[in-house]
Amino acid sequence: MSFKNFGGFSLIELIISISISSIIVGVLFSILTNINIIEKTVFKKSHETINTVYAYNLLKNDLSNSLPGIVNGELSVKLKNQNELTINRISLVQNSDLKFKIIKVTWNIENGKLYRSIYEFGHDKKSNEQLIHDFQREINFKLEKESNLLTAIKSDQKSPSLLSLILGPKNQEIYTFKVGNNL
Amino acid sequence: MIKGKKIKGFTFLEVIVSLTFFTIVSSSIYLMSSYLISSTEFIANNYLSKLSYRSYLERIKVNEKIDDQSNIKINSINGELSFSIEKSETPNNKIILLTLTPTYPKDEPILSYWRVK
Repeated sequence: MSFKNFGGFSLIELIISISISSIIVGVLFSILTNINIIEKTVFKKSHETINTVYAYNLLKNDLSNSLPGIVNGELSVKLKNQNELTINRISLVQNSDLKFKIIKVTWNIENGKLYRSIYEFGHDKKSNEQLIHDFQREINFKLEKESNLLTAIKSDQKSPSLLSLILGPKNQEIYTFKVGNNL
Repeated sequence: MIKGKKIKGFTFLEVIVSLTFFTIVSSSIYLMSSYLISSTEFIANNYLSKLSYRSYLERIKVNEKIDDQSNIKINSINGELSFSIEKSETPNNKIILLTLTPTYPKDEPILSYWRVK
């Protein structure tokens, strides 16, 4: 076999082609890596935002549909230790547009996690406990304004008319909710 | 001995055309994905900022008196938000219109009504 008849590339051609292909591969690689990093960051942030918005709207819906006064011998809406919120609210019966029922909903905070539990009216058995969102930082409820509705109930219980959900000890984010329409 | 003359490579014009095409396609993909990502982020941040503004308005309505305020700063998921609040009269003298104008990041004003106590 004679190598003299083999028409190969010269050293300079190889160096140039390798340089050009390295540049092209490098540029492609950096573009794809950048897009991948940004996509992951945005996905994480969007996911966090969606869950925060979901928690906000769910809590707002519970508080907007809460009953005023006393239900089953206790305040319809009450806040305990800044981490336990009980709401007696009206809810639509499943698959019905006209029938309503009363349910008790509790919101609990444990280690930065926000849980929502549903109880059937008159029962203390949870029918559903759901982790709404793990905020991964300190969160608590704050009573912004006490309801001035007079109730024949123990004075140590407080019913809020305006309530805030405070996220984080530093750089606090505050989301405020009106309870029913009794401001 | 290697005979370079026998190699039939690309012409200068072909190389220029292919490199231009590659540059246009790759930069378009990059630009499109950047726009998509930034628009997703903007929508999410904008929504949460609005919730923060509305929450602030709800909190100040508890006060007995509300004055015009400027350069108010609060925190949101996308950092610090800056805004001002201006009150104006309505045909009903017991109801005041509150206009919250975001200054940073700039956004459309948010309106809310407050009943004087």
